[in-house]
Amino acid sequence: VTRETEDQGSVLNQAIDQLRVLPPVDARAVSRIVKAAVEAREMGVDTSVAPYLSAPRSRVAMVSTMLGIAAAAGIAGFIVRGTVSPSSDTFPQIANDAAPAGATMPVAGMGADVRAIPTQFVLKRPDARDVRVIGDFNQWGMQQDAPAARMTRGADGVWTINLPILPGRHTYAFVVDGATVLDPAAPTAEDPDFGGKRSVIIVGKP
Amino acid sequence: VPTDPHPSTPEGAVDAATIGRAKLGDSVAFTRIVEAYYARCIRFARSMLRNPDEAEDMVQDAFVRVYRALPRYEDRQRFESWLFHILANCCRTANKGFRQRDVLSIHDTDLGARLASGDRSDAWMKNEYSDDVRRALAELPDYNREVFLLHYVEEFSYEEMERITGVRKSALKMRVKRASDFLRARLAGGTRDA
Repeated sequence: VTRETEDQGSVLNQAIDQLRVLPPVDARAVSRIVKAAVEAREMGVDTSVAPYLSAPRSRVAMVSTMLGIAAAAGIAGFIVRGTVSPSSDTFPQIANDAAPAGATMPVAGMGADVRAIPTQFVLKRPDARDVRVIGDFNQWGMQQDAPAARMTRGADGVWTINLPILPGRHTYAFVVDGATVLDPAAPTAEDPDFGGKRSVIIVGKP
Repeated sequence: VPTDPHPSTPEGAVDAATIGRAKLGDSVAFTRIVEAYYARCIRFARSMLRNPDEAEDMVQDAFVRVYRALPRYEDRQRFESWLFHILANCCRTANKGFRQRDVLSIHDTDLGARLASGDRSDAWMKNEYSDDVRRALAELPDYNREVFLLHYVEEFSYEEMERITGVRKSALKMRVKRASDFLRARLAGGTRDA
């Protein structure tokens, strides 16, 4: 005896119910996955080459050693303006105002002619509690030794940070209280690998 | 008619703050994410893969990719549809490899028999009826099986499925209908042989 046609819908429903049964969560598998993921995130570091000078979209180069130096030194030779003046929808100004000689810094292991340029990121968010900048220059905050750079809040609600960035084209975004925010004053580009928009900065542009 | 999916149901969803912390490299937050989605990912991979034994590996690959790419994750996109976009890609790649190896080295492999064989580790749903369902599912073309699972089992909306698969809504609806028609007929007809 075959099933009647009108029962076929319920046959499908039964199958779907069957397929929806969830397996138990395997705690050992979960910790194995997390371990592998954390290791992979740390292994993204390759300090032997600076590939994104020639291939701007690669995210392998590291400037982590420079982070503390620049922040401490507070050198602002080249300034990228963020949202301080949201009306400015032109390319981020890389204002060569009063750039002192020797303001650039050599990057360890990258040859004498490759120098990181102190670059200021600015975002006005008076209501935010935590603002960071992530980009290809800090491995999108993925490395433990190069965490997402926490910005400092000024009295006017303007968050700033100085980072040494290698010359070239870079993509970045702000993370405001955990949410990704584009720089309203910078041009954007499509992320080639994962879709979505990123802010774009060109450092060291003559 | 199958029950309508409810894609807005935030079942097992992880809040934005946890995702934000994982984005910044907080492995504890990332562990919560894996815990929250592990079962669904395994469920999908086991149904999707030509070799279900690869499910664990594929799910691990997907989460590794997710964690490395998380800083670039866009909050506009629902996290789980982004996760399934990556997982579905991993499964598609694995299926291509499996098919090639299969053709090269294993002739006359009965995928249905392989699925129904007793050495599977998915004992949580092992029963006679689920074997029938899995055998029928394995007969579907990969792309029809994928959209059927995404729609009826994972309960994604067609808009989200467009983002996950890169296929237009009209084509997705066609594939879901074809898969449903096939499974309905196969499972109803299957009782004749039983």
